[in-house]
Amino acid sequence: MPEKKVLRWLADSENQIPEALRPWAAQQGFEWVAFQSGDTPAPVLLIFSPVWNGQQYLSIEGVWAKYLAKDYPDTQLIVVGNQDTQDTNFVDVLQIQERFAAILEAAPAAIRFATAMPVFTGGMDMGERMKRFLKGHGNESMAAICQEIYFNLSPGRDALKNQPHLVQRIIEAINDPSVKNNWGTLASRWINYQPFFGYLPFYTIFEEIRLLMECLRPWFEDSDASMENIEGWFSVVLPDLKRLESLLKKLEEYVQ
Amino acid sequence: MSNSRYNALYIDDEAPARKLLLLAFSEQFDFDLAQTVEQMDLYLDSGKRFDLVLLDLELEKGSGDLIGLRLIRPILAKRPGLPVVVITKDEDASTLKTAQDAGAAAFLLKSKYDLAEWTETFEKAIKTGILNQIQDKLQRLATLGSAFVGEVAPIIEIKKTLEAVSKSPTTPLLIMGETGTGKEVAAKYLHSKSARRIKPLIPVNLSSIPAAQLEIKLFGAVKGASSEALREVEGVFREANGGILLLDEIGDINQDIQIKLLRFLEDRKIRPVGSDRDIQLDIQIIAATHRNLPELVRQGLFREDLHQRLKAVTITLPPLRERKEDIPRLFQYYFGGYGVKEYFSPEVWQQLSEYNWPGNVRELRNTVQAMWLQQLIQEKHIIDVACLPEEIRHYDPTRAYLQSGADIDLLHLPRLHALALLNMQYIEGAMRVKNKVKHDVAEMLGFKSADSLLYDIKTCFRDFPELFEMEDTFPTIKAGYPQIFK
Repeated sequence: MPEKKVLRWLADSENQIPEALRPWAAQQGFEWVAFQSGDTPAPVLLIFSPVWNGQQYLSIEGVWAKYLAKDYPDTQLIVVGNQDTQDTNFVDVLQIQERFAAILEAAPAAIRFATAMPVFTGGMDMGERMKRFLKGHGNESMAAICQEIYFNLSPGRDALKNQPHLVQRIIEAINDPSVKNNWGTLASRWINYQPFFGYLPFYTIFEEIRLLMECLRPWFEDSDASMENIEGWFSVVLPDLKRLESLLKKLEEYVQ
Repeated sequence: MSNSRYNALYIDDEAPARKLLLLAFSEQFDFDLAQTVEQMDLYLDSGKRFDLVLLDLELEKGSGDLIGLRLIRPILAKRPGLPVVVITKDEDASTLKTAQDAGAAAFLLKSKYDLAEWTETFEKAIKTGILNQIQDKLQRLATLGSAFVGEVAPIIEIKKTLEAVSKSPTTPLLIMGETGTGKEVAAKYLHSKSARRIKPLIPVNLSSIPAAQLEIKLFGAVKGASSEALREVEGVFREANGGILLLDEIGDINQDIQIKLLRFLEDRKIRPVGSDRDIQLDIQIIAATHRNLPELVRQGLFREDLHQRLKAVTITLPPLRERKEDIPRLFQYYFGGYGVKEYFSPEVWQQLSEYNWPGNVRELRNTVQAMWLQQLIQEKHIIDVACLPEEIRHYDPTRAYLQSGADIDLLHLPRLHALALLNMQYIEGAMRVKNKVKHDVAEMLGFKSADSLLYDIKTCFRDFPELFEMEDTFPTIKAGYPQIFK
């Protein structure tokens, strides 16, 4: 018996269409699999876009296209939208049953999107949204803010190690509002943008960022540096900040 | 590099957030913080010594403009040679190049912060900066004019006199003073104030010209007048016509020249060698000497009448040791106006202030040069005692005073020296009266025994040896206790 071709599809949880298409897909000999975070998107990924996040429609296809072009260049990306547009990697949801076989046959691999963009599906452009999250509104990038906080804190480790008698001044310096202001920028931007990231391909990265932000938050928001926790600022906060910065920089690679 | 601390100016609008960075480097550095360009200018315009500038390129965060890049040149214009280390998060190669082209000494990335590596970078930059700064200072010193620096009362009086004489352009002036006190500088001061300043001031060191050539050098000669004048010689008098002629070391000229000079002072005429015609000239004469002219007159070596003509207005430049308040001003002048004490360790300043400067201002100027060279050779970021010339480093003002041959004034001595001197004079007197019989001396002065007396003298010799180095001091004690002094 020939192996069935696996088609992974991604849609928002309120979208009934993918399930409605399951019989058709079975009839066509496809293994019709809902994409779960952590799954490999290959060999074919269908994205039903825009997606509804409970507040608004988000066009996620651009971010996915760049991601696949970089990490899964051989994968076929097929955007399923609600418009009558001709493109090798796009199919109108109303025509999917008639045209899908031809599209699947002809759709180029995702490497195409290293230099091109898929058909825009009309929701909030998550590519732009990601850019704003990472780069800010003409201000400092998230990674740069993170680096700035790290730069402001990390010499304290040397100061404490080489001049332990300065411990009180080190504590006072950590508690300087200018250090926390930077944290505030980082935290508020995360809080504002995080709800939009649910259907993007970087689930594991976002999840790790979420955990790191949760771990770091109490250090900056709930208590001041003190004799009791001073070591933790350097043994916990600094490595977490470094990891956070590297994750943010990794995201920047997909959103240029 | 030496172990003393460095002064660094940290320019960053987010300086308060960098407190930990400053603490990490606080073992070696004292920081001043400038958060704005205005504050930066204030620090750079102050006299404060800086060994290093740390410049954050991202001044005015969020502007997206690397303002710091535009500050490097102005900083170096204000403080040539001062190392500017830029700190940035911008990893762009073009930023690095722009900073280097502007003269940045080093380029550090915030993401690569490492205490040891940054310390090494700072020290290297400071070392190179000192080299550049000293080269710059030496160059400046070589081309520095000779301002008449001094604000003590005698110098102010002298300046007033010079200004008065400058308004009387035919009055001769006699400048007395030890070697190096600035006789030529005083002459230049007068020249600068005089209506004659548009004409030359010609200084001639009379002692440096062989006697046989002096007449021709001064008054000129017609062609073929002598083997020294194969062609016509103009002579410095004619060169100085309309201006001022400084005749330095006037005490060293022979009687023949003295007569010719006297003649000029009387009728303003000279006659070149071999000529039969007088030439009328308009020159103001300044004569200078470090010698005691009245004494030379008494010895018959200098003409009384010439002395009388020259001394109508006489100034005596005080030796530097008699105007020590001016020493900081002179250093300030040679250092180019910066807060000079900041460039010295405190001990150096003490030594420089106590030294008696036998070579006067000239010696001070040479000392500045020597100290900078030693600073360079020894790779010191400030001038410490090891950079001082030996005679200053080992100068002991008390010993110098005691050996000066002057009558000892106890008030010129440190208290313990004065007490020891009195004590030894007391014992010396008793030794003389008791004809060096030690028991008798001890009894007379109330010592428990002769051993106690011996111990007292030994202790004094150990603690104040300079008291015994004076010629003819305590001859009876020395004769009575030769074992101590051998």
